[in-house]
Amino acid sequence: MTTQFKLHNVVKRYGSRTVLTIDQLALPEGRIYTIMGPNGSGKSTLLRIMGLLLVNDEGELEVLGEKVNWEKEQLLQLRRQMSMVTQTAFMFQGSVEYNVAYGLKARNMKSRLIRARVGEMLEMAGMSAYREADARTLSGGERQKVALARAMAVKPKVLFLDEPTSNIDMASAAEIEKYIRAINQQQGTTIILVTHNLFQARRLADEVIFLHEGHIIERGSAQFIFDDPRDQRTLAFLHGEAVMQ
Amino acid sequence: MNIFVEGIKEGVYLIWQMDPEIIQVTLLSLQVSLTALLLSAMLGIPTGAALALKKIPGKRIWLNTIYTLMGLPPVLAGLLVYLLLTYRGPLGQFELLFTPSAMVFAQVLLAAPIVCGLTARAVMALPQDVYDTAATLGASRRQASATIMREARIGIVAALTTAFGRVIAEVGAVMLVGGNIRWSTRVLTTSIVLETRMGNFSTAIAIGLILLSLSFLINLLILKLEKRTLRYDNTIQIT
Amino acid sequence: MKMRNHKTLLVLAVLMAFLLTMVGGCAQKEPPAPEQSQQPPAKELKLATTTSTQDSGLLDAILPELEKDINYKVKVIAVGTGQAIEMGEAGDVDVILVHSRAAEDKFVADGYGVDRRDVMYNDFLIIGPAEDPAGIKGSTDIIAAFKTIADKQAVFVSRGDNSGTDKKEKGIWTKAEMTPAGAWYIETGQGMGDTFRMADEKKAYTLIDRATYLAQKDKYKLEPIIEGDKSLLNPYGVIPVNPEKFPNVDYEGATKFAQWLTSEKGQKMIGEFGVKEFGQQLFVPDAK
Repeated sequence: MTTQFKLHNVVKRYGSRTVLTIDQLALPEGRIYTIMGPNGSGKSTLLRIMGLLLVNDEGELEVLGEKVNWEKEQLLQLRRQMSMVTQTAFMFQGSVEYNVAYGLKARNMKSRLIRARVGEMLEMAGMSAYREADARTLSGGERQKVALARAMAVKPKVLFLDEPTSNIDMASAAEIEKYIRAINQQQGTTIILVTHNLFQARRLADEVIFLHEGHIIERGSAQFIFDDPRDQRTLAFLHGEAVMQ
Repeated sequence: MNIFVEGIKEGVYLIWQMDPEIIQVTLLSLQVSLTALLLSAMLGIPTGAALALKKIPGKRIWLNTIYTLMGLPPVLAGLLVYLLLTYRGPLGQFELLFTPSAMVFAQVLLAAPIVCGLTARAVMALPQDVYDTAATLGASRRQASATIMREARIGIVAALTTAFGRVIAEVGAVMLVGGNIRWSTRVLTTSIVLETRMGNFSTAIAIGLILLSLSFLINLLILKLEKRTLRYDNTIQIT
Repeated sequence: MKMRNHKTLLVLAVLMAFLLTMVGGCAQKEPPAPEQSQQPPAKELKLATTTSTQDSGLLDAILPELEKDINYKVKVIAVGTGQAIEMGEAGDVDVILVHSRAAEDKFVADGYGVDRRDVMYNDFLIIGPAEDPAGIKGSTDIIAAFKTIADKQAVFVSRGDNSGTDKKEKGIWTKAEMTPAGAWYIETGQGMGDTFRMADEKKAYTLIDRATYLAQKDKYKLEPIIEGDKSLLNPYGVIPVNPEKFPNVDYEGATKFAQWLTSEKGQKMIGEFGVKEFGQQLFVPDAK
């Protein structure tokens, strides 16, 4: 199985603060990974670096088999094989259709084909009724579903998700989880998911990566980690989260 | 109070009569200010966007300069352009003084900083999400920039209406570089000055009302164009 | 989305077309032209004159005829005296028509103007409130009257803009051997019409040219206080800008303009101006 992401001595700083230090990380394709950890542990930073939205200060980053040199052409080419859903599920001004079609229009797909694909994606997300709606009038759950449809419309090899179900209703959250599992199983899309939700991670993850103060303190397959973590801090985190939930 | 009533009556009369001089003056006002607005938009919008988005050394100073120029006194702008276009001046050989082109030039000096400054602010007010979402969905630099400008649309339209309001109503610049020549460089504002100076207050008010109505209509048109692309009222609702 | 964009584009296209007529110069609509005979197209002549001259209405009355006779379109730029002369000194106009003898002489002496001609004169008067707080009404001694105004600190509004009118006023103060200053002496820095208005508001004395006074007196309450004095005469001169200094000026046109003004026909029209409307002459033709 090919390695899709390779990080080597990657460091990210904000001013004098070092927020991320990854000595070594390799992620083979086709799995569901969850990145977890307390606030400020660098989860989003790691996600944004892998998603090519943030430049690392030190170290080497390899994405989809290519050494990232942060040149315009390479970035565009790599980005077009991945997509992302953020916590806020930012919607562009306009209709749901406009949003879901965005990535396809960027790739210069023909209008007719775009319209067909949009219909397909909205159907899968259960949001067909909202096609003409103003995207900004949607509820949190509805937006996340649209954001997911939008991200998947471009049929990416990798899908990043940054706490996609944190602020939404349970029903929508469940639907989204079902969708995530489906696209991983049916299309082999690699999923990299940042989440607070223990139970969600347990439900979805193939592998879990724990961050603490910018370092990876634990990594392994889901069932072992939750039942028997190696690191004290992981244990503490899990207990804390369990109490919360 | 009587003066105002007189003024309104006279204004309606002038429009009803389609008095050729008023028509010409009104058309010229529109042409000068709209041309200046168009040129200012072509100059100011890209510059404002670049100022907001690009890493430029001394960006803060540039922005501050633009903000200061937003308050450039029209009469000063007129004087500067006059000195450029005067026969012995650097651009004297083009014989542009006392022509509508000179008036457009001076008004661009006034409007462009407004468009630039307010566009920059509109773009700077956008959340990072705009770019992040566009980029992760596979937008190229150019496509992402276009999307950013689209998201900043409301602010940019505000920049245009503000700039237009400024130039259609100013008199200092067009008076100096145009010369208020009858049939040639006389516009609504300079006509008001002339009529006031001659003591014809009701006529001055009448022209003033025409000017305001014109401004109202133009802004209405701009807002209507905006409404076409924004279906819902995007403002905060307070109950 | 695409359908709506079409309408927007259409509106924008109309706007653009409208603006482009600007580039073609179509905005400069021709004034309702009298019969254009088979003359070659009229050239343009730029005239700088003072606001009081323009506001008197004289130019509106005589220019149509003048333009027909010399086949020129006269572009009148009315500004303060100082600015008019400045424009001549910059070579931005072809001819100037002002009323400030000393400045005119300097203009010629410095080589900026040539062939100065006398055209006409009008006169000034002192106007003021009917109550006449300084008690100078009907006085025949201007200088004494001014001294009284200063002593009594009666409110006096001055143009304070170095115009012909202003220089005339300052000249009288000089002869009275004093420099007016104080809260009672108000310098507006503005044209005659505005100054008239302010003097009326403040119920003050002021020096005003007869043309402006007659044209606007119905709006205000001030009355003539002193008039007819020889020192209150206001002569006008027309001066073409020197083509040797500024090859771009139309010396031929400027000369034709000046010649028309001083011709029998021109002088007659100048003398007739205002008689019908105000019952008196506004300008006395004075070409030598």
